[in-house]
Amino acid sequence: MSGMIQCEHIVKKFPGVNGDYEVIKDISIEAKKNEILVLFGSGQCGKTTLLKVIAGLEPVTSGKIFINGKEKTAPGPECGLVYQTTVLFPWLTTMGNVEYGPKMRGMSKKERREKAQHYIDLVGLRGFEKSFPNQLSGGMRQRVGIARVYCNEPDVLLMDEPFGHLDAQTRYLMQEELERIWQTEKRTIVFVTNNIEEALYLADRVLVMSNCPAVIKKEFKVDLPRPRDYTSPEFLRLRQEITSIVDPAEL
Amino acid sequence: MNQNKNGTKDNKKYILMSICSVLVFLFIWELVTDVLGIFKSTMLPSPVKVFGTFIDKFTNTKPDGATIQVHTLASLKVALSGYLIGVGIGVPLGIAMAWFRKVDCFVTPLFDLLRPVPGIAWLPVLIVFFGIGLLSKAMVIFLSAFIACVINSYSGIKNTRMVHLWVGQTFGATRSQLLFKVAIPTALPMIFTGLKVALGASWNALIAAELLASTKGLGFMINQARGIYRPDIILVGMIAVGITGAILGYLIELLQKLVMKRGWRQ
Repeated sequence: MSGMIQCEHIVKKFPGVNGDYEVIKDISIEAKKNEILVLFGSGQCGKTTLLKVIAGLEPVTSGKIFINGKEKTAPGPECGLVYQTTVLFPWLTTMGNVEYGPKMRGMSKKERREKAQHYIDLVGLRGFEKSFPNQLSGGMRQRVGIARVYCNEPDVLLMDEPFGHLDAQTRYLMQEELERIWQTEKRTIVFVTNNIEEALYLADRVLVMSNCPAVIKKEFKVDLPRPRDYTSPEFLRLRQEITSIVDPAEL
Repeated sequence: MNQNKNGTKDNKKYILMSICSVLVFLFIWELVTDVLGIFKSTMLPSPVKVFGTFIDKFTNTKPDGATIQVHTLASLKVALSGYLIGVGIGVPLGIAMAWFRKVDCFVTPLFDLLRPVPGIAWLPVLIVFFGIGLLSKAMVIFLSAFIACVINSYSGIKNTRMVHLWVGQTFGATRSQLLFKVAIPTALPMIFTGLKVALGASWNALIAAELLASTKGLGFMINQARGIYRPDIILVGMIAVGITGAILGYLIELLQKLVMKRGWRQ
């Protein structure tokens, strides 16, 4: 096993009225430790399904998934998910949400508090420990979501368009924030987005996916220095290149 | 906190208006009875008279054999015992029905059959079995409370969002942790709604049951007073029913505020 994530020939079909409906068609991906892998694709191209399959929330029709060398068959703490909309538990405070994972696994109160505090500080939410999700802004909630996943110490972080519902300004800010957090404490991240700039800003590699059934069209290696400049010529060239291979009919 | 300031101002206005409305009501009542004499006191006693009877009933056991406190306590005892059993069985059953598919399949059809039957409609059957004592009335109340608790807990658990369950699963929560740490917290507001509805239903069912069959309690007192043409006692009884019901409702609101912290409120 060379990578942190190893997906081999994944196929996912959903039963439909007119026979099975193929959402993912033979996808093999690999992610190295501490790499940010971005899955870029338009609309409903099965990206979310792919993440759910990797997380073990959906069984594969065929193919194998290995996380850190172990085969993945059921959901568990080795994969942490950050979702598009805020899915914090509304009845828990920031602290309650962040310490949720360790608490489920029976970590002592003192230990998990310390740990949760560390990650709350990391995402820049010190002072908001006792706030409830409905008292926080959209960006802050996504920070809590990131801290919550970090705190559970998964091998892999799966992010499903985490900034998709934020306004443009906050979105840029959160991309910078995620990069800063990742630079401070590196993790393996699979990041799904339909925003090309976001993809290029964050990715070590971008996998461009086609529409249903999802296949990987092309892989781009992004080795621009971080933090990246949205307006540098290399950035724009890559952007141009990716745009050119996305079929406008799929948008 | 501009809003808050406005809030207290509005609140003051609201209280003032409520007091006015009660005063106007009492004034008209007094006007049509004592002052103008449109209604005879054997039909509709004046508020002054009712108030006098109310105070008097605290010490006077006539004509129904007990003071108002004794009647109220007797009613409360029946209502609360039936209510607590209804909650104790109804809430867990509603949760189990929503969470375990097998329980759902097995219990729901039967429950849907029983649900439309009002609690009070069970009384004749229950009197045949258990007589007119505490037990049959407690059973009526139990049934009324039970149904409200099951329905609300059931829908509450069914409201659990899939994504929350996924989050729980990816955090390594076990199946029972998902129930207790995700589904039940989600359902808590609905469960409390159930508790409130059940409390109202219990109190209503009790008074109805007492009007039909009892030897003490507020409903009994009202019914006795009707038999001997004492409309003032009837009204006193109704007021006592109202006040006690309101206090019970207030207490459960208080409990809800204690249990459910800020995050639940939108």
